[in-house]
This record gives sequence, structure tokens and C-alpha cells, in this order.
Amino acid sequence: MFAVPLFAHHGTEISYDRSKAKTLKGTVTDFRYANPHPIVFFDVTEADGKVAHWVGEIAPTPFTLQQNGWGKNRTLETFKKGTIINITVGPSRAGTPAGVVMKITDEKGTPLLSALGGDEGGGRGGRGGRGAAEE
Amino acid sequence: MRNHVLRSLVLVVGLSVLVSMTFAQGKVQTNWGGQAEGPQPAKLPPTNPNEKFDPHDFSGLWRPTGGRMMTDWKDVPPRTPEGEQLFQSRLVGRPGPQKKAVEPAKGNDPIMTCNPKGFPRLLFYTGGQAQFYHVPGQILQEFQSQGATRHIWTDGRDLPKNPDGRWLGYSVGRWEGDTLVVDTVGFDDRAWLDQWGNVYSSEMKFQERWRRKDRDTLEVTYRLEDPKYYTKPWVSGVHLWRRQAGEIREELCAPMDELFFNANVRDPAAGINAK
Repeated sequence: MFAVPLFAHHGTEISYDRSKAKTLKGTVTDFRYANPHPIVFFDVTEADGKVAHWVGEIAPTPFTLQQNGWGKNRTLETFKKGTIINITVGPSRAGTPAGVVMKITDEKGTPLLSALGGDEGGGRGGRGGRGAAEE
Repeated sequence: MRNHVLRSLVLVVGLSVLVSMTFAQGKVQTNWGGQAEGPQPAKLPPTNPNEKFDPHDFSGLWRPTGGRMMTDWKDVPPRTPEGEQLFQSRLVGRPGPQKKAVEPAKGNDPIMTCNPKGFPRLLFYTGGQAQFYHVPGQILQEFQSQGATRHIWTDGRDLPKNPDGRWLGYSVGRWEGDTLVVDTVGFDDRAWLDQWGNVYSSEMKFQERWRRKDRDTLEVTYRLEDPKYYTKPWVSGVHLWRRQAGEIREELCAPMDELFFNANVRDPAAGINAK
């Protein structure tokens, strides 16, 4: 398990509401490891049997993920198509199937990406260390 | 200065040879965007305040440290009516005391479509790091963000009298004792000063004062003069950059990635073209 500090692109907290976090069981359909932020695409089967196509914004940039041990190969291998995940997102305020990813565990509940919560930067400086990203 | 130049050249050549040899031996695994991933670099040893360093040598990898943003709201001088009008026209994704935020998909920050951050925004990007080099007649600042390289001319030339607008401006540096004073003119005013949409005009005069406090710390202050948009100069406090272990990485903004992100994440998150 690796906790990855969040370096959110500006505006993340405007688009999403972490206070209404929800955890979904999903199947990864694609993972895009690229700037400005990685994206996990996953399907969620709802109670009525319909499949919702979700998109999750990974707030740390590829650079930050890599610094924390999540290089491209490892990430794409972990989240390859068909992988079952439990994913906690702050859903979009627009009510669309989009969210900022706060935590992902595997099917058994073993944490994978976590500590993706909280908006850093925020306009008043960071927490030191690596420094908070501006944007 | 000649020693710095020689040292930098030796360093660059030496690194090139080392990298070539390493790749030739097939020891580097390229598994992160085509770059070597490998083990995490060793951390720098703790700074010894008594350790000698050359205050005129800024070469190395540096990263702005936390503590505060370089553009702090309390520093912003009053804007002229023209400056205020431009500032208010900029729709930003992060709230500040002087402006409400919109979803990024509804903002108009030029970098959201991979336009250049420009200088000095690159300087204010606290998430970035930069490699500094001394080469004959210049100091180069290679910013990781957007892969931009800034040239600071140190060969004694004057600033251009009627400069063309450039995304990074035109910079001339000189030493005042152990302080590197850099004056920059000739800006492209389509770039934003920072993520809040703070403004500058093509007529801005921007001065930085850089000083190496110890082996691992660079401090910089700046002064922004732009009577077109501000009624008095904007003078900052001290900001620190910390020397880093490791390597500068590729962080180009690829429009194909940014536009994909806009279409698949930013827009649906804002309820635009949601599937």
C-alpha cells in the first residue's frame, strides 16, 4: 500500500464534492496514465442491472505518482482492463458519473492507491516537503 | 565565472557519457513514459551549515519549497481600471478572496488547452522543479513544467529597447556581490501571472534577486512593475528553492492528452456533454 499525497489540479474541489464520498464496486475498463492527470475508467453495475460508465480523476500527476512508486508500468498492470476494484470517489457536483478518486482497494479490500483526499495547494502554500502543487 | 562555466561543461559532458554508457549496457528500464524509472534516487545528506559552497554557482536541480505561494493575495497591489477589467474577465478554477471559482471546464485559463504558462508563471508553479545550468554567457533554467527553458544572459548585454513579446520574456542577469539580479522585459501578455488569473501587460518590468543561502537553499525575491495594470510595484517576500536529488522529468503538455482529459473528465465533471 502506498499513500500518495494529493497534488490537485486547480478546480478539483469546484467540480467534485468529497464530503459526499461514495464507494463503488467497479470493473476497470481502461486506465490512462498521462498528464494533466491519470484517469481510471470503470463500469459499475447498478441495482437495476444497468451498467454505468464511470470516470475517475486521479488528482496526483504522473510525476507525483511516479515519485511515490507508482510508475506507468506498475500502475497499468495493477489497473488492467477487467480488474475488479472498490473505488471511493468524491462525486461530481453535476451529478454525472465522474468523480475525483480518493481511494482504491482491490477486490479483497487490500488498499492500492489511497490517501487521495484533501486539496493541497489551496492558494496558501503547501505542507512543505515536496511542496504543494500550484495547479 | 570561468570556473563555473568549465565546471558546468565538464558536468554536462560527463553526464552525457554516463547516460550513454548506461543505456548502452542495457541497465536502464524504460517503463515510465519512455523514461528510466529505476529506484528512487538517494536523498541528499542533511545540509551542513559549515559546508563550503560557491555562492555564484546555481547549477543543479531545484524545487520550490512549501510555505507559501509566490503570489500571495496580500501582496497584490491595487489594479488600474484596465487591469481590473482584465482580471475579472478571467474565469478561474480555484477560489480566492477576490474572485469566485468556476468548474475548470467553464474557465478560460490558457493552460487548460496546453498554452504556455509563460514566465513568471513558471516561477510561481510550486509543484515544479527546475534544472539550472551555467553555460558561457548565460544561466539556463530548464523548468520541468512544459519543458520550458529560460535563458538569462550574463554576458553584459543590455536589455532590448523595444522587445518583441515572448512567452518567457527576455532576461539579463548581473551579479551584485553574491546576489544574481535578473531583469526581464518583453512579455507576451496572453499568459497569466498565476492560476488566479492575475494580470501583467507586455510592458511589465520584472526583477528577481537570487541568492544562494547555503549549499541546498536558493532564495529569491521579485519586484513587478507594470503601471498599465497596477498603481504601484508588486514586491514579494522571500521564497526558497531547495536542491533536489534525482532528475528532471519530462512534463510536456501534449494537446492530445489535455484535450482528451477535457472531453472525458473536466467536461463531464461539470455536466457538459455528459454521456
